[in-house]
Amino acid sequence: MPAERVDPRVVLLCVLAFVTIQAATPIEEWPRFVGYGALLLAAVLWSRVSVAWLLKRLCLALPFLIAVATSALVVRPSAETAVRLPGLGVEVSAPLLVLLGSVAAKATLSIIALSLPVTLWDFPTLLRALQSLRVPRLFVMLMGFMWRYVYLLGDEARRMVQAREARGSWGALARRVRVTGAMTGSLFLRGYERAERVGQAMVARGYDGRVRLMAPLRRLRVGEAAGVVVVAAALCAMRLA
Amino acid sequence: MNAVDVEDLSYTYPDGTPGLRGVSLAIPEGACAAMVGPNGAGKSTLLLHLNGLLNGNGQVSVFGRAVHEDLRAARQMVGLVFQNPEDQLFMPTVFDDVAFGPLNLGWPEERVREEVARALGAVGLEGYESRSPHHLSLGEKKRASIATVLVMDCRLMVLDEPTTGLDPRGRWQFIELIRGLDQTKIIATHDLDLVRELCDTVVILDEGRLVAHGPTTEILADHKLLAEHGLARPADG
Repeated sequence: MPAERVDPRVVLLCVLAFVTIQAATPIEEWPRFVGYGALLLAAVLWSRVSVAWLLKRLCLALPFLIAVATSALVVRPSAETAVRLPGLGVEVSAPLLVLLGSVAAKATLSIIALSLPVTLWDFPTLLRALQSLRVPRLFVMLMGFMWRYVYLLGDEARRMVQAREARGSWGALARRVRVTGAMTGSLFLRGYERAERVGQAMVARGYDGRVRLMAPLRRLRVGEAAGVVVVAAALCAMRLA
Repeated sequence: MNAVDVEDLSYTYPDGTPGLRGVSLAIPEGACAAMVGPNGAGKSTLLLHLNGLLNGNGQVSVFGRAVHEDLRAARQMVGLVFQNPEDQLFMPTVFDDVAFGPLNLGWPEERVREEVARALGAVGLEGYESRSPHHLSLGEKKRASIATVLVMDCRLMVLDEPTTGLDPRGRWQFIELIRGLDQTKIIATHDLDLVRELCDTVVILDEGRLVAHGPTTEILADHKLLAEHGLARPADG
């Protein structure tokens, strides 16, 4: 069956189980991560998601990796934990190296797994699936707002950059920083004012603080629920075996 | 019966800026009234009082009922369409946006689905239910904004600057759409062509005061009045 024809709730639950279980596995048990990776690879092949797109998504993990890598290089290791990096001649802390490996493995697997449902279904479908899985309605609504307005804020930021470019060159670094700071502040204020107007538009249509959304999707079928249980059980077995 | 009765309404913004100063006004049921005036005249401030978003000093009644006595009823009767559709359309899909008001009114879901389909059909957006508002053209966004209040069976349609930003073709299509609505209409606008086309009465506000109220033909023929309030080119000299 093509992946996109599976109920999105089934995939969301499987992804949640995968992310939780692999994140709870100590990196010292690294052979288990090979198993997780193989399972994820099978899921990627089945979903026919573009590998190039997934690799781009992995950039999200970079800030965490850079933070850990920097601390590994900066923190002075004690004599007992120091290991010399072959070729570089630098001594780093062994626990920090392990932490770097752990962050790299877990972030990579989590981001790829979480990217699958986002690629297979549009965001409103996923919101409905989350609502159906009893995620609090306020949270679902806030995610909906975020998705609705993030592009709009992006457009506003782009227009501000164009206006800045149209009015001359960049100048010195200090001036650039000042201008970028002012633009960020202005963007924040615009967002705040928009939030006030959206609030008025909501109240004008009867919103009284209680979130009411349409009833979510049908109940999960027995076969679908069983599928989630099988995947979760397989993951537990990989973690505990 | 009057659709709107406003008596001696004054409102001052929290920063001390006066928004309205003793405005009294009556709009009969079935009318199409234009509200014109320069920027900062108090047009939007007055409109926000009509379904209780602002609460100034004075009396505001809609179809004979004081707005603040029954806000829920007022918000069903008065469909307020904001100037910028990006503020009016805040949900992830057009369906969710149009269904937002009916769900707040507690309508059963089957009825909500039927009414959403009817409202989208009335504004020419059949089949747009699953589209994201972000991907609509400005004209489509304005139509969807009308659907979000039309769906609530409102009796008074209040439109703030409805034709702003539309190209000439989109503007005329939108004017025809508004003309086809049966509700009593109040339109705040700077677009005097729209006023000439659609409205039977004109209200002029300036600096928070009502300065003129009368038939469209009379008000628009009074160039001195229009020029005094920034609505026409000032007379030479």
